[in-house]
Amino acid sequence: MDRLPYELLHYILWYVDQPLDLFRMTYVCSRWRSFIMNDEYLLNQWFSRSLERSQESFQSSWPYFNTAIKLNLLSNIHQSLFPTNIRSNEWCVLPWPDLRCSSYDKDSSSYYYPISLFRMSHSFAFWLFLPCQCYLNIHITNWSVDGVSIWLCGDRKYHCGKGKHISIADQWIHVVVNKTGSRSNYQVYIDGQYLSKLSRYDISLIETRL
Amino acid sequence: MAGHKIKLQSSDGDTFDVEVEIAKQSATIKTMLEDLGMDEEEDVIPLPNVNSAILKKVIQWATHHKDDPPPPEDDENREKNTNDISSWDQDFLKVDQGTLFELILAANYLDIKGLLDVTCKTVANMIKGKTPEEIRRTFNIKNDFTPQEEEQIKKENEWCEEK
Repeated sequence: MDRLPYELLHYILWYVDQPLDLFRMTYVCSRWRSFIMNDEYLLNQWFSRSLERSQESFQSSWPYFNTAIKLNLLSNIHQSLFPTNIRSNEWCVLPWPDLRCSSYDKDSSSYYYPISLFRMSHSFAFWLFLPCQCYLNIHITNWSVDGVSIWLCGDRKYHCGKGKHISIADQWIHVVVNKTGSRSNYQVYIDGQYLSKLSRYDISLIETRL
Repeated sequence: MAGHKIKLQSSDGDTFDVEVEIAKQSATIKTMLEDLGMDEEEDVIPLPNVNSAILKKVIQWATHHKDDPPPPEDDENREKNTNDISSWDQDFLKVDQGTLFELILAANYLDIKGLLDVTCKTVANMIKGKTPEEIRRTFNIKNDFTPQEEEQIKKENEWCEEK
């Protein structure tokens, strides 16, 4: 095994598709650890590939663990795998709605952050799989200032400049909602592309929740 | 071209007569034949990175898979499932670890995608579901972490070893 060049270890890693197995590989020896942990490109590729899986295959691919361990595993991916310098302040797993449930209509969750966060440049980033008929509504608000409401619809194509459009349905996308100190509005990026022509229906002010 | 043979020479000097179509499963050999204009009947193709025992195995594998459709060129379309190894391949790969890794190196050198896929899937299956210690034992890998690193890893590792 020691004779195999990194190129071939990489090839083998392609077929290791479970996060738990990947983590355990990083604990085997320093060569394997540095091969996996120090290659950001490799990690990005590995996770992008894992995230290509559909909801169905995602759920069925965890047969060995009960729900508590699954959640523990997912919520520790960030902390365990990524070097400190690319970790964010806070990381969480959004609830996974069960689309097979006939009574399913909408699913919502709220996260609370210190007010000081909103006084400086900040961003929210997440991976999202949005089926064609579904939409995502992001409310960013606080108790004293009007917030914003951002809609992303699975069946829409979004303009990202120079005549290019991004389709977001039925695939994993990386969404960043960003606000820098010098700007009054939030900007939305999908897969690194700035959505330059969001209408007032896509991104709008909402009144203070009091 | 079917039935025409070429000669492949291993690193230890043995020569093997192989049908051209079988040998062409190796992209490396295919390139030599097509781009370098080697005469199939006369020339011997030297393979200095593959010994006789491994070359014999590679020819055996290529002969069995001569009628397989070509694997996808694009890496992104490579089959990720490791549970689809045919029973013939499983039996073929019931070899000692040294031979398995020699086969991986040979498949890589000869650029035989199908053989590289199936050998790497076999190694991935040997890793899956094992603890770090079990992986070390399986592949005879030395735990070279310092006691401090080991302690840190143990701490990080606690959550994923929860039963």
